[in-house]
Amino acid sequence: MHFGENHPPGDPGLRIWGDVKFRADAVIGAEVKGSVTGTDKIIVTRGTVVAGAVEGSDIRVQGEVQGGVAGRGQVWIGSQAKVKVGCRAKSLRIEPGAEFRGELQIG
Amino acid sequence: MPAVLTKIEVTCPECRQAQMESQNFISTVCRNCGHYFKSGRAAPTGKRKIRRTVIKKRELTCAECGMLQEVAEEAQSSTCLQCGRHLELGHREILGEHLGNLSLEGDLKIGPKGNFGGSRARAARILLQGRASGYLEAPEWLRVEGQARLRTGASGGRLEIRPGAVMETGEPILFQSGEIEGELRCPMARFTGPLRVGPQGAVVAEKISFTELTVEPGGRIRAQGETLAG
Repeated sequence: MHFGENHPPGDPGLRIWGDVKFRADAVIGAEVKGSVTGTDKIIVTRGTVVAGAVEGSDIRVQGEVQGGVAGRGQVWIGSQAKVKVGCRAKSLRIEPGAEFRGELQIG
Repeated sequence: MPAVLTKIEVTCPECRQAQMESQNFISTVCRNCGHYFKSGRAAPTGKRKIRRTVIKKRELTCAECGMLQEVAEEAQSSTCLQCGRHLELGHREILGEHLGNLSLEGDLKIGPKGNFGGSRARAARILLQGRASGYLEAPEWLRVEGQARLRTGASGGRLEIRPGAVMETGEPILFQSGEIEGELRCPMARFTGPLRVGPQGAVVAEKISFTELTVEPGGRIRAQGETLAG
């Protein structure tokens, strides 16, 4: 499921006030004033800002997540991504250039 | 076949005294009258040539003042040209108890039954198979294959903790990069480059910072994490 579209940073296009839940793989390109929860893979695209947490199986972050990331599998934080609060996952990759600050609970 | 320097005999244009100079010399001072002359003004006499072996050199950094200097490859010790510190260039192996401090520019191996009980050891490369309790400084790498419980901290280039090995420190550690296949426990760890935690690796720290982090499936981290600006 492709939720919203890619927009340049500062112009999120679609804005959502509230939590979002997915029952399939999801690609988010929007400003979300809440949390994002999914049963499968979640991709937070560049320009996306999630004010809450992102929870899923495998999570790929290229945008900004202000409430932490919790993955049941692998979490990948890209070179221009920002993640605050923390990260929980089975395995983790933080690319050079990414901004991360928070609690790490890996493995 | 060693490299050689070719020398030629040149004549001083002032006093006609002959002396030996490197074939590629640009200018020199006459050893007889002190006259300074350039190579263009001194014609070689063509009498004879001496072939001299070039001394192979290597670079080293003084542990005290950080000055980069050159020493002969075979040298076992030297003196810093800037601060005068005595530099021990050889390698050292600790097989039993060692209580004094150490400072080497070569390798330090603390064997399986070795115990470094001094307060500080510095060597370009440190292999720790036994035990250590003092501060370890390894500008190139520190490889832990044993059980290290350091009262203080450690610093250097690359930190390698091999599977089954444990490194526990009482104070912060600072390295350029890390390869953790064993266990690392410390209050604070700062890696100015990449940190990789392998499938059997574990890092338990109050705070950990890095520019790049990879935790492979099976690896563990429990810490407050923070990326450093690249």
